[in-house]
Amino acid sequence: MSPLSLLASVAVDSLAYAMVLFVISVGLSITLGLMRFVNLAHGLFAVAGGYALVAAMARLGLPYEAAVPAALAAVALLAWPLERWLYRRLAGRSELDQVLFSIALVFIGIAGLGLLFGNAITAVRLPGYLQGSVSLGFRELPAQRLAALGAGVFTLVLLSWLMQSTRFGIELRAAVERPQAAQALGIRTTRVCSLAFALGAALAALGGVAGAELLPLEPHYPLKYLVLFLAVVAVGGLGSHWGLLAAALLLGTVETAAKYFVPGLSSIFFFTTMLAVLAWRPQGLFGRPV
Amino acid sequence: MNTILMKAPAQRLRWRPTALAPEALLLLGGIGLYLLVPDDLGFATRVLIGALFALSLDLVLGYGGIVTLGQAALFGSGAYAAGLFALHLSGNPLLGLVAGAAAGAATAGLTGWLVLRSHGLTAVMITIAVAQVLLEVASKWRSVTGGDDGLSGIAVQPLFGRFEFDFFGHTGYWYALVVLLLVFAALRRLVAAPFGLTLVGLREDRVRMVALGCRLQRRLGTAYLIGGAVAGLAGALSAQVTQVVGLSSLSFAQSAEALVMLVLGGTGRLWGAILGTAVFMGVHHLASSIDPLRWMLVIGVMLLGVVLFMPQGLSGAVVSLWRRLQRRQEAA
Amino acid sequence: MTTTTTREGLVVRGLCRRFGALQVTSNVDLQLRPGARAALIGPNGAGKTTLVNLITGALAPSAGTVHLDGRDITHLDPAARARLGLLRSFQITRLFRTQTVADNLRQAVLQRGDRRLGLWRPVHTVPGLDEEVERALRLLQLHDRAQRRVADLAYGEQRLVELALAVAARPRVLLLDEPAAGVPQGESHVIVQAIEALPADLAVLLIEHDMDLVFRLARDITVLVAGAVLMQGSPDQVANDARVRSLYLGEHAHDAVA
Repeated sequence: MSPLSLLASVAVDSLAYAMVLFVISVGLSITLGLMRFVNLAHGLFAVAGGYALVAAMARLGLPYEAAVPAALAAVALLAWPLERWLYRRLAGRSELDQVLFSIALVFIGIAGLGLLFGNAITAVRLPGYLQGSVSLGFRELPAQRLAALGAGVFTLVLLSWLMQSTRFGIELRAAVERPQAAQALGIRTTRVCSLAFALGAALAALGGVAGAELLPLEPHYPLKYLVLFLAVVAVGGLGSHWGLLAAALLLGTVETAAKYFVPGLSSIFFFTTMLAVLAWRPQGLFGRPV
Repeated sequence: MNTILMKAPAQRLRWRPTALAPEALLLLGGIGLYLLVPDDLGFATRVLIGALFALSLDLVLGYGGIVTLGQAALFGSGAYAAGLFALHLSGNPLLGLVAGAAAGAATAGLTGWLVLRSHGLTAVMITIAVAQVLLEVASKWRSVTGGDDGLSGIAVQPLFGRFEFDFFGHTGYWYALVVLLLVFAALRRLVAAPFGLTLVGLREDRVRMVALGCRLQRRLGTAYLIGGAVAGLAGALSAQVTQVVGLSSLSFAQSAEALVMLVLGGTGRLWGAILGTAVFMGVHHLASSIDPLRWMLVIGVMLLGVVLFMPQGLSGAVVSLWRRLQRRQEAA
Repeated sequence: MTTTTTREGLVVRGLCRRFGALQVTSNVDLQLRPGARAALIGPNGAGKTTLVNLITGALAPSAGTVHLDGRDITHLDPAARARLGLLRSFQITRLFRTQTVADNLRQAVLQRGDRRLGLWRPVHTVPGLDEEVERALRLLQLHDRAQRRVADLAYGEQRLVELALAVAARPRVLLLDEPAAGVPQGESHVIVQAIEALPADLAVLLIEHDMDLVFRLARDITVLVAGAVLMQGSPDQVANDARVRSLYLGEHAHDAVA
């Protein structure tokens, strides 16, 4: 492979990986910015999306095209009562309590998933058009990865539209920037929180589904990849979702490139980059200085 | 000389003999445990080591208010340091403990400032990430750490030249118990000293303390460092007594379990850490045939219960009960 | 940096603070000499709290300087300023509720710049610590409540402890943020007496709404309106100033001056 095609190959894989990380982490970033809640259980929504898809197809017999939206809706419906009855209860509590609570959820979720679906990696039965590879000229790209890219673009477009053009998005931004002012203006922040939380969960589920090739579905998924999502959010900072995308691209590229050139050390490169960025800017690349 | 703040003479006399009551209770508990499971001293020793590790976490989290899910980084540092020390430098057990504590302190010193510069989610994530990086390094650096297989055959010389670390684990148990007692006593003194009072103040109202002039970063950094040394000490004990060191000593599971044990027992009281460890590991021992996933479910539910209904932990419940009984006595 | 610290007290020059296009503090000059008994008054939203935050270092200024006894402290964080002797009390009580009054005061003494924090010897054996705590307790007549938990005290008593905390730290300059706020009418005289009993060489700036308190305790009043100083002067001058009257004092002026 010529150097140029090698670089192009790395770029494409990095982009796909970054998009998956981005789509999953968006919800976490919104929850953190909006509710100031340290939610370590976010990965559960991602993996739940994947498993819901599998269950919808296997147990309900739905075709892939119908199962995906069904899975996303299922996860959003799961997230809503969780936020309403549990997360909101802990909103004012200490950071430690929030961490403990979300860890507890993760443990329970992992156990539940393991008992329901077994410990091994569960594969998603893809429809024909997503199974093969697409030729890019310099290499073959699995169609799944192209779909992951698509999911990322879709999320970007959706978020941009939501934030700029809808009342919900504007209220959301206001509630993140100045919570008390937002409430004084009559914005029902609890309602915005609930909707945003459900949206974040649904997007995580989308990421889980789209990224099932890169991040395979298994019960320990939420813990195994927890650091990845947290790192993207921390490095991005609580600014706009563009900052989050930049962080996902940076970290995704570093790790993918490392996988190509120094395979055993890819994780170490990922973390070193993250720690270096945070050592330089603790608030993240695009966060507000504390 | 003032008399208002110094306790009345009678009270002071009464204070002296009970000053070491917690240590005495711990010793009794240790003896009791030894008598309870004479055939499974390996398990009993692991309880002591777990309690020591939980104490380190209580100092950092319960007193320092630093939320960490990566204390295993310090435990593992100590374990590998002590293991490598015994394998390559010297089999002297006490020096090995020093090596472990030093390694834990060093890791804490190098990474603590990163953790303390950040807040909230970022800070927690950094603690997880540091442990993960060390885990990756240990996993890949096979020539030194043994990689996935870890270190084994860590033979430690007889303690004081007389007490051999035998197969039955007697020496190991008393060794661990004495270390635990000494560290517990030392930490209790630390907490009663001005430094400890400062930590309690920081935990309760950081803004107030800063407004009084408290050097926040310096104090918390010191707490993190000492916590790291104690965790490293626990790791070293583990390496010497079990004679193996594995990647699990750096794992997230190790950090999370210690956190659960501490929270179960109750943070910020030191003895809560020991109580929580004893209860948690005792229950796990009794339910030893349970499969890992179901055990994870049990931990999750238990943790959820504590957070929602008993945030002060078992020790908090004991203290509340005690206070209620005292009030009833006073009323009567 | 001056090596000899002159006893100028607190000197604020040209202090400004902007939030975007909004100017919240405009060119404020203020001086508190040792022994000063000054007050800062102004309508709600005048920027009193912002000014206090700028002086204590909780907020960074957009322009201007703050000097303490000749030393430039404009860029020091609040803790550093506190260690140099610039302290504040809080409008809403911030105390260590689960600890005793005595332990609260010990915290204040221990955090002073001239002390090292011991790791080994118990708190009650630290030489001089209890004497300092005693002193603050006596000043505020709290010695009979020294061993009680703050959480068990009445709010008025807690406000006293809040004041004692600031005093125990032996400040050179003390900013009192509405010290009588929330205290029942019948108990506020205790606070007033306590403030009157403060050390003579201490510079005190009182931020208050209660005009009775202000006219009783202050010898020098600064009136802040919309982030800028409207006027500074003696209580008489302030009470008789037409602008101040129309803006803020209303009928209180009659009671105070008469």
